[in-house]
Amino acid sequence: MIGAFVKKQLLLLVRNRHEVLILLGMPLVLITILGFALGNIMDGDHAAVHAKVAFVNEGNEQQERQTFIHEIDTMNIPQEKKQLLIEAAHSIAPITVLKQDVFGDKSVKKYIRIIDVPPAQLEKVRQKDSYAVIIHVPDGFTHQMLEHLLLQKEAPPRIIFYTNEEKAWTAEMVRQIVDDFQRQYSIATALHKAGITHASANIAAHVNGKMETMTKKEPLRAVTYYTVGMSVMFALYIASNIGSYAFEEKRSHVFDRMLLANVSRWAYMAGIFLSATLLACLQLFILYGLTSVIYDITWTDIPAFFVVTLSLSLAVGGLAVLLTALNFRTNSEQASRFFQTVLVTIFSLVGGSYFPAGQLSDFISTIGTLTPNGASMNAYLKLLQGYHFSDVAHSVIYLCLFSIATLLLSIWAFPKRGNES
Amino acid sequence: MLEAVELTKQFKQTKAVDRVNLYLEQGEIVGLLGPNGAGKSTTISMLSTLIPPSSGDVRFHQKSTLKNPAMLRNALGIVPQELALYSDLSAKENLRFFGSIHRLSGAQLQKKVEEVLALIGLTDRQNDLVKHFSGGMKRRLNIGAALLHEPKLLIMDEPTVGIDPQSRNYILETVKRLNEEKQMTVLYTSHYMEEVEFLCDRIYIMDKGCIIASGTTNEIKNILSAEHTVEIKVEKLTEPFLHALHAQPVIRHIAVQDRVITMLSPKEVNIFRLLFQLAEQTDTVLMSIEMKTPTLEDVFLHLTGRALRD
Repeated sequence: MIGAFVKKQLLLLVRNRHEVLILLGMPLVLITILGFALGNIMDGDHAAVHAKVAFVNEGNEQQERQTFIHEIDTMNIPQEKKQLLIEAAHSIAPITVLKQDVFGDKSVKKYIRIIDVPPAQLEKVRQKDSYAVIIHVPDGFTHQMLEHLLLQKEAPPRIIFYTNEEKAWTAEMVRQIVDDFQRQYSIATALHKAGITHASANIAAHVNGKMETMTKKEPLRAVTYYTVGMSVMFALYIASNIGSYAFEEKRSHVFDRMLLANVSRWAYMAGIFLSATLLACLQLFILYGLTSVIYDITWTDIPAFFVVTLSLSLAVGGLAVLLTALNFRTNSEQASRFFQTVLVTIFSLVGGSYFPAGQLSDFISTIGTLTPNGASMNAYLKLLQGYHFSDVAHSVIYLCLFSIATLLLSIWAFPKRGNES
Repeated sequence: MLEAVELTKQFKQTKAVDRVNLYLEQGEIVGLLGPNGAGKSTTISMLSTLIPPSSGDVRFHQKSTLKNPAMLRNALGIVPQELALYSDLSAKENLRFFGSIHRLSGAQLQKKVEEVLALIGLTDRQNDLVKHFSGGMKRRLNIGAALLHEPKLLIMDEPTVGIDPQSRNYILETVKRLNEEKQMTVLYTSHYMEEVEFLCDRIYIMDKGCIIASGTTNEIKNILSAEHTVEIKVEKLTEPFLHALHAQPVIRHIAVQDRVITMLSPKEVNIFRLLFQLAEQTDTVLMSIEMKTPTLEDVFLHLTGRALRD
């Protein structure tokens, strides 16, 4: 019987050209428009973001290193250890690495222009809006870093940031680069504390190598980003459509026929769930299939892609049942309409369908990952960037839990006799 | 077979159905007659277990259906007033779906669908989408969808609303055949008197949520055995003449349409003489006077003071 429900729902949707156009045609059009219109901003090949970053260095790396070496030299420790520490100190130059190897990298230079600003002008520069970020290296940074790394003294020194809120995108990018740079020093510190002196002695080379990997990672093309963004967004419309179809069944008394045929509400809800899940799967496969042919978007980990698609479809299935239950409970189509017009828009915005939600705020970004489209988008984008399934497993689990939660809510919300309101 | 006992339905401040008692015996066609808003559809919804009554009971073979509706539902086919169909599916796809929810499958489902398509005369159009059907064809399919599981009891809620006379006759003949050939019990609601007269063995007349009369067609018509229905046509309708008619205590239920006046009067009164007198007094020219056998419409008028289609 549930097979008959699914078949019926498929036939109804396929024969409704208007719906097919919205569910398949509209995302394809939007992918094309957004992918090409915003391509210049998002694509790695076309760097349209030319951010000015002020670099205020109050310290003197060379002088601080010499001071440190002199202090080592006067210490009462074995000569052999002294020699080893001095050699290591010679190879550690965090500010040089940051400026030359990290910000000096060809791929980063496409976006960011570093301008050295004398410390005396720091306050003046802070009043200006022209810089996206001000990186402020405090006096004694290198000395403290050497003491921290090689002598295990004090906490690691921090670089100070002043970000321009109007240029949040660029500020976030620069912050990520510098954060990653500092993290590598922390890793090296941990190795040093574990007694791997050789590793700490080669920190510069290590950091340099890691930075190159980070910055040279192939960025996602805009068209790829929007393929995922639009596909997950339009998958949500399946839920509202199925909810509306279900309410139409109630309005036209077709649902009465089902009640009189002793169809239980469980069977009816199962039919709705399976239909929506299957339709969402089909929609996503068609969209990703077409865009892989048209825009050459390659999915390398096909099994992981299938699992993410299935988990998103299950979430859509759960939403469809919930909307059906709410429509039946309120005896109107309001739940579906509210979801379609308001919630999908909000979900798409915070989930990152239009632009990365992290640009707005960390809080919104976190909220975004709690939406089914946001969670699945995260997973899809990671897979496209070459991450393994284990890196997206949490999103898959979340989507499955989301589906279960919506189903439980539906059971509570669905009127006991089905036709009551 | 099916019995409603003191069936009542209250919607907030409105009592839609008020202590209705009715019964259906195996193999009979019973009419439920009443104007729009009389409470027929609510009564039907309660009889078919779709909505629970506020009070009272529905019994199927002497057993209450309130707690356990499954037995009645298995034996019941319902034809709702609305077209409970999928307009984007073909006639055959609709019937296959409705057959499936009645747990029919495979060859059995195929056979039933073909049988029903033949019965409702849609075999030739079985693959056409319902949205392309005429009103009459949709109504026939609406009936067909209720017949797939061979119900013992068929409840039909105004199944001929808004269709052409040819389709209407087809439906009436189909109901008659189902009753005669398959001994199907039918509860037929309508506000078309002639349909109920043609089909039904017994009739319940409903108004404002209550049963106001019941019995066989003849029994109900006999309510008016002491009265004539008189229809007069005047050359020109005048206020004094109408006033004069209303002033006569022996004339009741006067209805006017254009230049035609319909009224009820006791058989023992010489209505011709009275009408001529009134016409002369008010300078009204009578074109014709016709005495009619009372119809169910007249009975309804007599009982409620309103026409059925008001």
